[in-house]
Amino acid sequence: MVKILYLRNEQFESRTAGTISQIISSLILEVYSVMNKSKLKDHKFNKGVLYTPWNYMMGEQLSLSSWAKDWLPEYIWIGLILKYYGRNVGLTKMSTIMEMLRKKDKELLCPSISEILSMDKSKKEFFYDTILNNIEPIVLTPLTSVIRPKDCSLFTDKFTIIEININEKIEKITDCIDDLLNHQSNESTDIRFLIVWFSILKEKIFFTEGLDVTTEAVSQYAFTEHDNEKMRMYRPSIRSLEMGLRNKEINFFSNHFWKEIGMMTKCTPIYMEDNITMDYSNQLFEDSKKAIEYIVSNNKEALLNQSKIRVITGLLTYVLKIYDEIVSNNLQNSIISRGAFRTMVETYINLKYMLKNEKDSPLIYDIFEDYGLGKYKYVVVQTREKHDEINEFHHVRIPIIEALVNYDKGEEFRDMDTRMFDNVNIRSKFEQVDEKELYDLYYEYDTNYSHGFWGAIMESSMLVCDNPAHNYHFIPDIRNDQKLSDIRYDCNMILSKLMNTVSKIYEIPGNLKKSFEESHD
Amino acid sequence: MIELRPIRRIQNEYFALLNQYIDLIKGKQFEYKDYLHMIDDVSIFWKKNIEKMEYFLENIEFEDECVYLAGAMWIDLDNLGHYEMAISGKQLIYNDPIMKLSTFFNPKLDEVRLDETIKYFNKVFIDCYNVLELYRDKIFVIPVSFIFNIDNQVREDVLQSGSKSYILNLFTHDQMSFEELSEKYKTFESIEESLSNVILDRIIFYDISDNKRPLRVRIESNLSRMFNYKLLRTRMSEFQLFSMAMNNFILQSIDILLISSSYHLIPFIRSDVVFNYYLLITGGVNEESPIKEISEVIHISYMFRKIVDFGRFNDVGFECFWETLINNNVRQRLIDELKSINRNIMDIKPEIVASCIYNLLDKYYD
Repeated sequence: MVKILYLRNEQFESRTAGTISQIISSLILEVYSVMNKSKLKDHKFNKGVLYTPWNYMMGEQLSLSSWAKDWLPEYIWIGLILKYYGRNVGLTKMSTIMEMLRKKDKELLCPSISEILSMDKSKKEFFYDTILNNIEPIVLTPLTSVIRPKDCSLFTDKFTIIEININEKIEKITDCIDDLLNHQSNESTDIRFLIVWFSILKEKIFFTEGLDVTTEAVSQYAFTEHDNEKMRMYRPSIRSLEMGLRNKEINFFSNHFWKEIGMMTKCTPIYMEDNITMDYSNQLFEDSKKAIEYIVSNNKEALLNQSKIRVITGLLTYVLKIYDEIVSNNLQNSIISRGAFRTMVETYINLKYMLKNEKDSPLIYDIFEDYGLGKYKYVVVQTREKHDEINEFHHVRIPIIEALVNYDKGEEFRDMDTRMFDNVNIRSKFEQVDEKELYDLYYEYDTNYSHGFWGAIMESSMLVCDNPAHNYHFIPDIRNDQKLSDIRYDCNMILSKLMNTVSKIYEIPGNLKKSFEESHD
Repeated sequence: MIELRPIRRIQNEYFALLNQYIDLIKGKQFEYKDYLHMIDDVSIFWKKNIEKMEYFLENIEFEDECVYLAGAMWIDLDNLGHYEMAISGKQLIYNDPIMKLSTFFNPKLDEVRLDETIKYFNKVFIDCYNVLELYRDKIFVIPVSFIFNIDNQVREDVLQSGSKSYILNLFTHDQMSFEELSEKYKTFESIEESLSNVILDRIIFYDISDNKRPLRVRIESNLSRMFNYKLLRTRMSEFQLFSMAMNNFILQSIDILLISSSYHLIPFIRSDVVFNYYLLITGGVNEESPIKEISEVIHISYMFRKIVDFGRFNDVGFECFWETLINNNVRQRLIDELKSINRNIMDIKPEIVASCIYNLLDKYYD
């Protein structure tokens, strides 16, 4: 149950409904951030989209406010003070500063840098002198790297220490950012407490009866060490309160800050290394090759004219070739292996699907061949009509695929089916052959790689920058440092599934059959 | 193949930045703290453009013929310093002097003579500003050393160990460590006595005529120019002062070598003193090193500067003067002609070099 806080301020009263909604959503978000993640069944499905419970419930009313992006820069001056003096002394000094500010400036809503820089000169001077009466100028010197004389000469005059060079200033700011980036860190929560405290001093917040936890949190927070158990209760309350006080109207400094500090510092990209070592043996591959050889050599008559064995051995060989290409070219950690693996999985499913449906559709293997060659015919016809520029340097060898399209019958007798094979979508095929788990995990995941969707690109081709001043952005991995995890374990899994399936249809040497069964287990 | 568009944009922006200060500097209205603010602004400017600078420098090839003004702090437009460099290559780069001089504005360095530093700083600032105003699409101000030094501990190690080795090698008959030598040679005179005449002749700090002065005079007048020498004397032994004076030029020379090799730049060394030390350092460079390949260009450029009276070409205008040299491949013609006289052009007498140079210049300029 959420208690509503009433804010007393002319600026807010006219927007009460929206404001309270913001408070509710911010309160709930704070609470939810420590709860479990939603299950799939909790999501609401609507017109092809699975909406999170939050998004579905709040709709357009929900607006996210990022502590790091929007608010950290505004209060980094407080962070520098707390870091320099330590928590206890720092909080005391800030309390004194805030008390003096409260008395002097009735209009100041919150002690953000945007608000301070927007003050008139005399108020700014008072503000800076108030701070300097309580702290050494060196504490806020780092900020003169982002607030330059052209931005506010009064600030740079008051807080510049000439012995501190630009590199030292940037380093101190970056260290402070590191402490504060996480909105739930102790340091961030201390600052957020001070923001709340300032509003209390300015009589902007009042507490109704019954809000015992909140009032206790506010009154005891400064006197309680972070390792005290009670802080596990106090900290979320403080953060919830602070979120409701945010006013994005005066927030221009944050953009300026991130731009300045970001441009002045270099990216420090990091990549992840998989430390799982795999004992890889190519025995399964060798056994599979032998098995196919055995099938082909012992079924020559069928191979002369039967589509079933032709298709099955063809699919098997296709999978084996993909497997071999991955392993012998050392591609197990590559992007391309994901697309290749997806193809292996889909080929396996097509085989199982045809085996399952061959009774009801005895010509299913012919249909499969016809379907595939119809796809090739489409390319040939398109090329003839639209693409004169295809030459021998392109990888699409039109004469060859044209010959394939016409190999058993003229193309005038070959239709082009533009739907999925057998007019059944791929997901249904997985379900029909009881391999839904393969679809949900592997197929779904590797499809991202085949289609170049952003998750796959982030995982394989972008590096996270470890520089706190860059807000942990991502940059392209142009030096190819990031490798992906080893795919051979899963390739073996699919290969052994495939061989086990085939070994139930065709006779293969006993020792091989046994080894396929063992590897499948 | 270099791409110049980002560099030209940066030059425009840098000019706009310096434009904010030029009147104050010319009017001598700057206080010490104003210099520090400005240096911070310049540092911030270059920091924001580091990636673009790095890309540019890392993609230069020797074929691009990018000349790098080494061993000098400023172009010196008033004395036609830009004309001197023109024969050396197609793009002219020089280290941002403001960044180079910023180290002397460190308040912790109480031995630096601030008044001299400021006087010198103003001079180079105005020169840099004028270069940007008149020639920023031809001469590029880039903080090459600053960029090269970033995350470059290897460079620091090479510089320090290289310099130390060189000084130790001057005393080859001693086979002592630095500390032992410092103990042994307590005065400049004792150092002077132990060095051979050949080496002593090459230990110069101001100009070539230094080699006629006693070592003491050479060192003291050199260090007094930029430092509070009395203060230094209280903190350092004479051997240490000797090493400090030498270090300055040895480090410069090794740095020129490192930067030129790394970024495929052709160094143009204006200073006779630095050129002297550069020859000493590169005397030991591997024959296969790219620096050896361009040593002829470096040598010719130096000779060109020493021999030619550039005042003669003032009316021609710098751009015309330069384009004529480039379009007619004058430098290569000169090298070819000299090689027809002697394969090792560095052995050719200066009068013969001068004659060849003037013959070529007369051919292309009225």
